Amino acid sequence: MSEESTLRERPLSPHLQVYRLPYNALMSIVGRMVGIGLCVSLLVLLGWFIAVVWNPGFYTQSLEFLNAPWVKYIAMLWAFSVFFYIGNGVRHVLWSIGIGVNEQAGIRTGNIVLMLSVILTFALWQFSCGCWSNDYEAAPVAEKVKAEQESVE
Amino acid sequence: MSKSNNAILTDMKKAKGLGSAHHGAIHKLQHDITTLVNIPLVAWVIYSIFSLRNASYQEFTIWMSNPVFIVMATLFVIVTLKHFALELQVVMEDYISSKWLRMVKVVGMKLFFFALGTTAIISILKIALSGGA
Repeated sequence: MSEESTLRERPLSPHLQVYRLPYNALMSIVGRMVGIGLCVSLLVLLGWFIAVVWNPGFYTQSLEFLNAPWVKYIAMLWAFSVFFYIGNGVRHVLWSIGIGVNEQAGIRTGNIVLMLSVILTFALWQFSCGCWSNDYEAAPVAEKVKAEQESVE
Repeated sequence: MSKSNNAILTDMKKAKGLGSAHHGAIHKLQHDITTLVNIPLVAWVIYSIFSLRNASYQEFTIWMSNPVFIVMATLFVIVTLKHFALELQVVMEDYISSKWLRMVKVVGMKLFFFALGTTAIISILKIALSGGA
């Protein structure tokens, strides 16, 4: 009897799956995951750039993909991640100097970074509305580029 | 613990690489500096990407043959790859417990970044020297 109750009532150590991370710990791990994601995005960006430079035909091909309507939402998510990551990086620089190294300051600066990221992403959305025409189907840029390349050749 | 015993332990610790490596500060410092230097570079890259949205290949190459592009893009490639090499090294050192696997991954990652950065810079120079043709 006693054996069974001791087996059942053992308190568990805070395990990652049942432990709700406090704000600063959550920001820390999200910052790291965003960093890894952005690193992957940088590899994709550089790979795309290298491919485009050495094989101009790839530019046309990639435009067909990049003109998909959902790509702009991915781009906005990417931009938000960049703003968040850089804001977080500035927090790390401030911590290195010795500014804001306590729990309350961490929550405050974390909120500032989140708000700035949202504002900058919204500003970028407004800015890029001019670049993003609404009618992809009416005037596909890929076709325009193809025609230009044919005229060059 | 006697003095001589302590000395032996310390030497052994050093030999096994379990003590402080004494180059953590420069790693952190470089990480912080690349963060700050990256702010204008990334702002410029985001501006370029969103401006070049829907650009034709000719508009794209005209942008790329701009001297500002050549300087900013080269700096961007160097600084971001340096930053992420430092970042990923920390991540790998945190989460990979096997010493040899960790070493192979960190070195492999850095060599890969070096190769990618070199290729990217050569690509930038190709555009620059060919005058955007």
